[in-house]
Amino acid sequence: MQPHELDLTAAADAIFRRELSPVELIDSALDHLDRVDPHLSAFVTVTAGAAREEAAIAESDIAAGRYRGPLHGIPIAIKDLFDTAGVLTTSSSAVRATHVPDRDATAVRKLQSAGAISLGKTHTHEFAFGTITPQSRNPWAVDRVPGGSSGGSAIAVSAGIVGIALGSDTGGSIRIPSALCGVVGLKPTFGLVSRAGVTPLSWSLDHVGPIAGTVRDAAVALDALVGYDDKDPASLRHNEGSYVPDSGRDLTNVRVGVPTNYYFDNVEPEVQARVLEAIDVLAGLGATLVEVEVPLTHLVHATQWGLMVPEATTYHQDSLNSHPELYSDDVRLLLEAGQHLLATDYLRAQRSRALIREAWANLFDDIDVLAAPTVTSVAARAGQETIDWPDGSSEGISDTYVRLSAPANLTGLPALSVPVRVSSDGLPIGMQLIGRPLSEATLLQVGASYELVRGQVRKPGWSWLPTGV
Amino acid sequence: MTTHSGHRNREHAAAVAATVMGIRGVLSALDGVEYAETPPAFSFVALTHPQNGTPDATA
Repeated sequence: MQPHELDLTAAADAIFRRELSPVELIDSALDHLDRVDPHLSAFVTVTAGAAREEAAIAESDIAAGRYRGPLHGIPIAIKDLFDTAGVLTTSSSAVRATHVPDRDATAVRKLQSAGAISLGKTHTHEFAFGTITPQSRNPWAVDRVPGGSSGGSAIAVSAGIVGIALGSDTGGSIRIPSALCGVVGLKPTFGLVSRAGVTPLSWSLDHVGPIAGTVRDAAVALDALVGYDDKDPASLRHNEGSYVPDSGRDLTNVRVGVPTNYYFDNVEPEVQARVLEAIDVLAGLGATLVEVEVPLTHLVHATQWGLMVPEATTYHQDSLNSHPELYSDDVRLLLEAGQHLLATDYLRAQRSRALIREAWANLFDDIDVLAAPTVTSVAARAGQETIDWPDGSSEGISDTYVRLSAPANLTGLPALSVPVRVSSDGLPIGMQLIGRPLSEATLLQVGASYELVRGQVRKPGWSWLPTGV
Repeated sequence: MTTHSGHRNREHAAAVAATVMGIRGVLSALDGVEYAETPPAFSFVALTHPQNGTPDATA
């Protein structure tokens, strides 16, 4: 086994015991990146020189007894929406082709303070305004998309290049690519992780969180990411110690809500079957399954669009007016359309959101966790624009991708995507666990318990690599 | 005489108009909703306030 093949926890243990040097780990990860990324296009910018320098410093610090914790010497990747001091930050857009920030986003700074080493910046759907990441490919099948908008970050973890990657999530942009690429994605409670220094898509819907190989690894990253930040007006003062789950599997005191509507409507049969199997596993661990009706689902799509489009348009208004030709067609169309919406459209969406939030709060009177598919389908083929459902309806790929993830953005509730068994075509499927505000510890414990029983999830094959790995 | 760029501009304007129509179609789900006295939840800070269903973790 090569060093880059270790998950974060295993690599951290080996570094702590001085059986593995950060230099060896970073070199291995960069070599692997060089082999696979030309076929995947996960990275916009690779900062190999800086990473090797930081690895050498980490190696000498650890040798001198200055070990910083489980992220020390661990390779990470950063979505190109996050500011990185002195490093090109394009948001995967020609609009920002030469943008070099002079300071790090808070989330980047926190991971680096914990000793993590960035290998570079990962592709996003342009300005995070889409769920495809069309320039990148899924490691499980390179003729398929990774999902998005944090597509490059999910690829980087799925392909075993890094242990942790940073993503942002406005309608599902951490959870969707995590599900489609077979990795773990956590969208924390609104305000738990600072968004300062991250290019906004929609101020009231944006969240920042980790993408990781395992639930435990996501928890390690969350430990480093939380904390009040006066640069983000939504930031919470909240500290409940470590989020790293214990090794127990008992879920006797956990009530798991199983939706009787919405989350299993127009979902691919294999996605439904694999997620229901996973929910049965939770019951086998002692969880009480409670059937629940999810409220006000007919308002979700309209409320999401009524908030996101005006907020995104407002943010981009100046550059859209001065350089419209620099935006890709799909993003430009949405932003220009946003200029024709009314203030009353936006405020009605905000009133609708208030109703949704109240109804969801009541939903959690009877359950601790809601379990459902993360995405309605497996990864689409590149260029596929719609998906046809048995009821005769046709749905746009972006609309179907966000349908099951958007409620957690509207409500600000924490949501975790965990890989379940793969489809018969060998494509990943994700189960989404949604909890009460600030119940990340519960979500991570349930996810970790499931993960222990499920066992090691399969890794993507490398049959598409000309020379293998 | 129609120029190439003029044609392209009209096509683009039509695409924007179609996108606006599409979004308006989606937003029509908000028509007729019983809002009663529901205030908007638009403050980015208030999203975490108890009256919006989330504990005030800043307290």
